[in-house]
Order: sequence, then C-alpha cells, then structure tokens
Amino acid sequence: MYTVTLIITGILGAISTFYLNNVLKLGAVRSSAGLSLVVGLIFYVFPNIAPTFLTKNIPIVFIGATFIGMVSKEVIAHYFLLALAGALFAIIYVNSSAFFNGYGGALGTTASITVLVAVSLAVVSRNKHIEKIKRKVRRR
Amino acid sequence: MIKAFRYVSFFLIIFIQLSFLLAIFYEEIDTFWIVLFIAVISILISIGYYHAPRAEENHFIEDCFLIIFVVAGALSTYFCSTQLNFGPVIAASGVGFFASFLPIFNRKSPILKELPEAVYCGAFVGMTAPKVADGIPFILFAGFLTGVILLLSKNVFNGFGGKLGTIAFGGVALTSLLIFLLF
Repeated sequence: MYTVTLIITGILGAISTFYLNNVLKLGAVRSSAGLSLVVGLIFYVFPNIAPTFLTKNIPIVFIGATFIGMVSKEVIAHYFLLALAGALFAIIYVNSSAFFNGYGGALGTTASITVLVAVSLAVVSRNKHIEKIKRKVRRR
Repeated sequence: MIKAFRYVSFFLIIFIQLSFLLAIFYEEIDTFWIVLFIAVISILISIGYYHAPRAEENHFIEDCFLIIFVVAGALSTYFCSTQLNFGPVIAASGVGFFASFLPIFNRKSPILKELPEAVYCGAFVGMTAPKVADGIPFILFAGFLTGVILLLSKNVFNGFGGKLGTIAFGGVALTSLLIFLLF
C-alpha cells in the first residue's frame, strides 16, 4: 500500500511540475522548487498527517519526481509518458541501492534514467513495426 | 575543443547513470524480477541516449561564473538542511525557489538568466547527508566539481529532466571517491 502511495506521489509530482513549467510557463526551476517546497512544508508542519514511513518518503519522492517534470515539451510531450516516468521513478526509489544512500543528486540521476526510458518508449512506439502491430490490434 | 568537452561530458553522464543502475543490480542480484527490470531499463536508456538532443553553444570561458553559483547553492542548502534542521527537501526547494526569482532584478542580464539552474544544481549537492558529506569542505569541493561538470555539459541533455541532479550526483560521488583514494 505504501509503494502504491509513493507511485501516485511520483505521477503527481511529474505531471504537476510539467504543467506549471510548460503550460503556465513558470520555468523549470520555479515549478519544481515551488511545488516541492509546498509538499515539504506540509509534512514538516504536520508530521502526524500520515504514517512515519510516508511522512519521511513522500516529500523525497515528490521532489525527485518534479525533476522529471522539468523536462521540456520538445523532449516529452505526452502526459502518459510523464506519468509512466513518475511511476517508474517511485519503483526505482523503493528498490534503490543503499550504497548511494544520502548522496546528493541520487534523486536527479533516477529521474534522468526514467526520462530516458520515457523518451526511448516514445521512439519505440513510433517504430514502423510497432505501428503495424498497433493497426492490427485496432482492426480487431 | 568544445566538441571534445561535449563528448567527455556526454559519456560522463552516461557513466554516472550506469554506475547507479549497476549498484542496484549488484545489491538485488538474487531477485530475478529486479535484475530483469534493470536489464530492460538499461536497454531502453541506451535507445534514449541515441535520441538525446544535442545543442551547439560556443560560450565557455564566459560561463565560469556558473561554478560560483553552484557552490553558493550547495553551501546554502547544506546549511539550511543540517544547521537549521529543515531537512534536504525544504532546504533544496527553498533555495531553488528563491533563486528562481533573482533574474527579475535584471531580465536582460545573461548571467542572472543562468543563475536559477546553477543554484538549483548546487542545491542538489547540498542535499547530501552529513554521514556522506564530512563537513563544509566536502560540500565546497563537491560544489566546485559539480560546477565544472555543469560547465562542460552545457551542450548535452538540454531540456532533459534530471540532468542537473545527475551532474550533482557526479560531483558528490567523485568527491567521495577522491577522499576514499587519497585519505
């Protein structure tokens, strides 16, 4: 259940930042930092709002997912791919290596890996062979 | 020269990301599904690298001030996180949010325009836990290295989410490695 909550947090963090950055044109840094500051302050002021595990990890997953939302719309244009990247981020975070625990930038590295996966999925889905398979499925 | 820097920074970022995945791979080598997951992700990000946008910018020496902004972001975040006890998330986002408003003072200034990204990149260095960062000198040096990598990688992975964090991770990991090897 906790993992599902973190996955939803990841999806929300990525999509909301992308919206503020690319639709409302607030800029990548302000969108990511502003949203993370709000979420961070909520859990700082109200530490008993959720179980201890979530109070500790939701702000971390959220700020990490906002790095995904900092992507420009020229690189990723679909909300579905962003949501996928956000969910993937939370999954990698949950299984991330204890070796790099506490290292600054580890969240950003995870975010960049998920963005690259989303970009490659977009490329693969535009592939001629994949398009053929999609058309066949639609006809059925 | 710029082309050489671009290649070095491109492969450095790839190396940082693959090291990160490799660490998870080694720790979870007994869990089949996680190993399979990491293998699939590695294949997909290889395709992503091939399609990563590359920009051409000839500014280099003019941008050396970025290093100062990165160090300032790292130190202020580390101070807010560890001394004022706000924790890494509030500290980094607070510093980044404040820095995002600084270009308002002079919208025509090319230096102020690049300031928020550099400070936010430094903020990620400042998120390092005290058990990894052994005091202010660590953050100072990691911030400097991160600034240098940021400068070198101006032409790669532009517009990619997580680029700044990857660079910060590179700076922190490299500093830890140097300390481990030298002391």
